Amino acid sequence: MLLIGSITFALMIMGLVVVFNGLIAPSPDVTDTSNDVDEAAEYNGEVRRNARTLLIHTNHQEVYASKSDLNDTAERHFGNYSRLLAESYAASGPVYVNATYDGPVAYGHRTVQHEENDFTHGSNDWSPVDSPNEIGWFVVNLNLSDVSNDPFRIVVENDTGETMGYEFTKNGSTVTAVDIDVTRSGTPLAEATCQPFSGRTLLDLLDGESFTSSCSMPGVSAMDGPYEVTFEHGDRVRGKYSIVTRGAPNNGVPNCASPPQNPCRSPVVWSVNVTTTYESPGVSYTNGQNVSVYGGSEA
Amino acid sequence: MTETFGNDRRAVSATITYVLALGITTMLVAGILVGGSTYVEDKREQVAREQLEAVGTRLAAKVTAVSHASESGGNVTARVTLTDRIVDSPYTARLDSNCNEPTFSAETCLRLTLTDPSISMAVPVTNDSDIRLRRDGSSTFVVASTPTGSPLDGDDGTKVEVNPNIGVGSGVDKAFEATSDVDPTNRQPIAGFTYAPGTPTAGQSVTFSNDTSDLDGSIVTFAWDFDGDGTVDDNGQTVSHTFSDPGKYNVTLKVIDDDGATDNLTKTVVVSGLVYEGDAQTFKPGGSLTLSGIEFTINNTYDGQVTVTDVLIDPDDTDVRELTDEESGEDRGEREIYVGGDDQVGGSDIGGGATIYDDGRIIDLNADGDNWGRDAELSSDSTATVELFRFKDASDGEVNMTGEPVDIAVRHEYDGTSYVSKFTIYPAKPPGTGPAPSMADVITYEGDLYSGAGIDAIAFDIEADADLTVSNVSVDSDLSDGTYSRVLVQNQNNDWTAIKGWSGTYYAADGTSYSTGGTTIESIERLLVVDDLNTPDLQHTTNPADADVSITLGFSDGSTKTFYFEED
Repeated sequence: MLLIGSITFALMIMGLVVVFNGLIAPSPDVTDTSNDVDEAAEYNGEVRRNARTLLIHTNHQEVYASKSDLNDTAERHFGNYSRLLAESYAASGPVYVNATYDGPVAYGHRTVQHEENDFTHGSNDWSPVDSPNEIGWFVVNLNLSDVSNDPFRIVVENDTGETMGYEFTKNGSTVTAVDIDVTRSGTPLAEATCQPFSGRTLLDLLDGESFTSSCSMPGVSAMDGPYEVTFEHGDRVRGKYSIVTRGAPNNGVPNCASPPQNPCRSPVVWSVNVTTTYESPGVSYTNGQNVSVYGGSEA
Repeated sequence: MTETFGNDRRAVSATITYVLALGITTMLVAGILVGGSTYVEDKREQVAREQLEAVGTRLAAKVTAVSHASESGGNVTARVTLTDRIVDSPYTARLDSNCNEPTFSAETCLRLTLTDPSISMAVPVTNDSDIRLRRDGSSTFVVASTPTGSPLDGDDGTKVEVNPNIGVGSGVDKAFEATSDVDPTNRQPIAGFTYAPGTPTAGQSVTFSNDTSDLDGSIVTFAWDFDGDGTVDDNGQTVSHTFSDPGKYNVTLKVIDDDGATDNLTKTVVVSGLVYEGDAQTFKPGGSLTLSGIEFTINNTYDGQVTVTDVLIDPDDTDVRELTDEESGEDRGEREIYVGGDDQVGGSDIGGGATIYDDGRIIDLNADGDNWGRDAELSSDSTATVELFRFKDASDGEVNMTGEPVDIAVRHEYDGTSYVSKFTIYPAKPPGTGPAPSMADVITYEGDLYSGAGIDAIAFDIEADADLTVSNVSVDSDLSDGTYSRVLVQNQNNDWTAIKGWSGTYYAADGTSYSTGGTTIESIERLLVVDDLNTPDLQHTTNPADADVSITLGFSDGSTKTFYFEED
């Protein structure tokens, strides 16, 4: 009897052990690679941002006489970027990345005065963008020693008839800052005094910011496009300018030749196809996509 | 009696007791075993459910991540390795796009099924793409997507900051700001320069000195543009330039450092057209025995008339405390400053004289309102004499200004713009007064004039910085005559030397000199020169304080020093 009782108790203890083993059993073995997918998506975003920066620099690096010249330069730059990117990722782990430049989807047009001159073209008043157009870049580089005491004006009008006016006047006789009065549809909107650096002031009129000082004003982008641009009294100012439009403005400015005329019209990459690849032990990612260089529509 | 074995009842109760005990024990053990088995089964199912839920959550997270990545047009294949069995039982997982679960709301869910124990559960999944889930091997799941939409639109809304100093903006630098990036390869130089004199006049050479800093290198090029025409007029760290015409000039220094970085600085140099002729000299104002006045000439080189409005006077000699008026003459009669403009004579007329402060005094020519205060006007190419009358010390004694530097600034207006001509004059002695005495120059008059009503002597202290030999003393006065009973010199040891004895009558109105006989007096402290100036025996009733007296000491080197005592 004692033997039977002992065996019974042993079985009971063993059963309890099984039960409690189950209660404290670990979670199933899982290799979690969820972050790989996020990293692949982030990599794709990084390529998109850098592609835009790289192509903006490429577009403005030279005055191109043909689209093929521009495209060759862009492809070369993008190839260098992709190679460096792959080396960078490979150094950080078992990841293969690749970014390929699949060519432009659309070209834009850059009306550019690349040599110092006044802002006239045939006449003191003229329109570098003479029909409603999407603008991706609008930069003026003024030599303030040649800004007149009488105002030079840039008028931007959209297809609804709204206008943004920028009136440039020399500030003071010896301090060569420039006063900028901004109006919207004729109503005073803002005033700014932009200090020069080394006698020049560089203005991004699309965003309304100065590169050479901290002055700012409402930019053209504060008003919905598309836009027309007119220079008034271009003889009262000297410097350089660059305006990128999606369509070709009929402003009488010739296409850039070699050597380029001043001003002239040079092609730019407006949008481009880019394919990204991300391969890691946990994820395979490819994305063929369109990148708008200046942030507008792709085609 | 008959006893049978079958009727023997001994030990029956013990057997029954054992049987009963065994039966009860068996039932108890069986009950425990049945209960424990049920408990174990329940616990196993609970553990299986938890593990199945964990697997489902992991898979759902992966599906969501792949779906999200696919939304931007990407083809994504993700692999996830999980356990191949749950509580030692196989399980399956599949995506159900028609999820209809009462416990949550989702279009798509992940369904997991375990065979033993038989459990089925659903986990919600966020899935906006075409996602496929398959099992690759026993423990690896593959989540793959096929983008259903078009590739990512060109504008994803991401703001890209690109500075405009590219293309037409290339080469344009940015003013330094605390938040701006610094080129690690080179620091731009900071151009700077000074020039002297700060207020030059036409025809005066101006020295420009470089004051540029370059923190990480050196300056290799200095380019000076003196007239603002953009043409380099000179090179070098220190250069000189003369502006021949009055006006305002923009002077620019452009520097280039050894790394090619540049900077430039422009300053406006105002060149005055009212030019000091460098001819300042002292003079004795009317009735004075001291060279306490200064006169000099200014020349108008402007193309038109200028108006002199103010004059700054700042003598180096801090003993000079006052500028009083002329006290005699006609148009100079009440003026402290006289400016002889050809178009209009001007000058100041401050009642009681003008106090000279430590930093000098700016005198507005027409600020007063007395008869003689007005601005002076000079026509083009004309000159005007400027006369400053009677510099005095704190004791109201006139100060000989010969050789005393005085800073002068003449503010004037030309063509509606205010200019200043600033210069320093070193007044020379008037012609015919001879060279400055050398030995006499070391003498400092210490004051302490012992004269006045009831006192019939003139005595004063002097100090010398070197040993002196007083050779003679002469006395001059505006008295018609006088008697000097004693002329004495006392040295630092209180030793008296009689230059002239105690007796006798001497008339000094003619400036007669009295020899000391070559007496050497070292480091004179007190010089009692004249005593008994007013002796009754000569019926001279004039107190020395009522007379202008000058006493001249002659020294062994031939130099002289004159002290003037003015009538009270």
